[in-house]
Amino acid sequence: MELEIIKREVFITDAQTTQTKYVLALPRKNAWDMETVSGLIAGRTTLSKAEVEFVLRELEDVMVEALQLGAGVELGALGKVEPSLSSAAVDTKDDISLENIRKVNLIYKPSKRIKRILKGLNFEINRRKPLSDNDNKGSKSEK
Amino acid sequence: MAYIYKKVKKKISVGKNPGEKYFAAMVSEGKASSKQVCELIDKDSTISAADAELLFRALGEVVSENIEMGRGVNLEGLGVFSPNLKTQGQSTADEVTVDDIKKVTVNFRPSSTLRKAMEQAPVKESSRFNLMHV
Repeated sequence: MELEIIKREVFITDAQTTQTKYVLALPRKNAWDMETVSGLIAGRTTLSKAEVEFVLRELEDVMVEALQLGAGVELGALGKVEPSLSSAAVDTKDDISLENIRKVNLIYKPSKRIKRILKGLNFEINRRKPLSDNDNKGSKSEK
Repeated sequence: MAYIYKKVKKKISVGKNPGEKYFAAMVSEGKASSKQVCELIDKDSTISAADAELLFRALGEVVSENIEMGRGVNLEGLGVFSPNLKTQGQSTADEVTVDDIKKVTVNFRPSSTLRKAMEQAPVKESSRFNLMHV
C-alpha cells in the first residue's frame, strides 16, 4: 500500500529575504477520535466499547501520576512517553538554575513495530493536484 | 512531588557561541512498564490485567494502521498521534520527488490535561548527581 503525499509551497524568511521552496507533505486528514478507536479496539478484544473508553481514561490518570514523578510510561505496542526538560545553555556549572529551564516536554518514542512500519512505507505523489489547494496555504517559516 | 533535574556538560559546535556549555536535564525516575500499567488498571477497575494488555496491543495495531494510511489518532485525555514527513525543500515544484523524503516520524501532541499536569509539577535540583558529561 502506498501513502499518498502532496507537494506544498513554503516560504522561508530571514532578516532580509523570503525564499519560496517546495516540499512534500502528507495531506490533511481528520484524526480518528476516541469513540472510533474504542469501537475498533472493542471489535478486536472481548471488551465492550464502554470498557475500552474507561481503560483509556484510566490510562490518562496513570500517565499523569507517573509523569509528575518524572517517570516514563510504556504503552506496549504503541511505544513510550517520557518527560524531559529543555533548558538554555550557560557557560558555567554554577550558572545553572531553575530559571534556565524553558519547558517540561513529553517525548514520545514509537515502538519497534511502529518504527518498522515507518521504515517500510512507500509513497506516491498525488499527480491529480500538482499543488494541492486545500493543503497549500503557503506556510511560512523563519530561519 | 517534583521533577528532579541534574546539570550536564555538552560540547556545542554550532551557533554563535560554540564550546563547552552546561544545561539542566531531567533525572529519569524509571519507567512504568505496560505490565505495571495493566496491573494498576486491574486494581482500579473490573478490567483484568490480561484484558488491559490485549487492549494495549489492539491500540498499537489501530494506531499503526492509521499511520500507514497517513492519518492521526486523537485519544482525548492522552493526546494526538499523527504521522509527519521530514523532507528536503526544492526551488521548484517539478524538482520535488519522493527521494526528498528524509524520514517519516510519528508526532505525539499531548492533551491539555497532560500538558497542565506537566506544567504544574515543581522542579528541583538533584542531590544525587553532581555533574554529568554527555
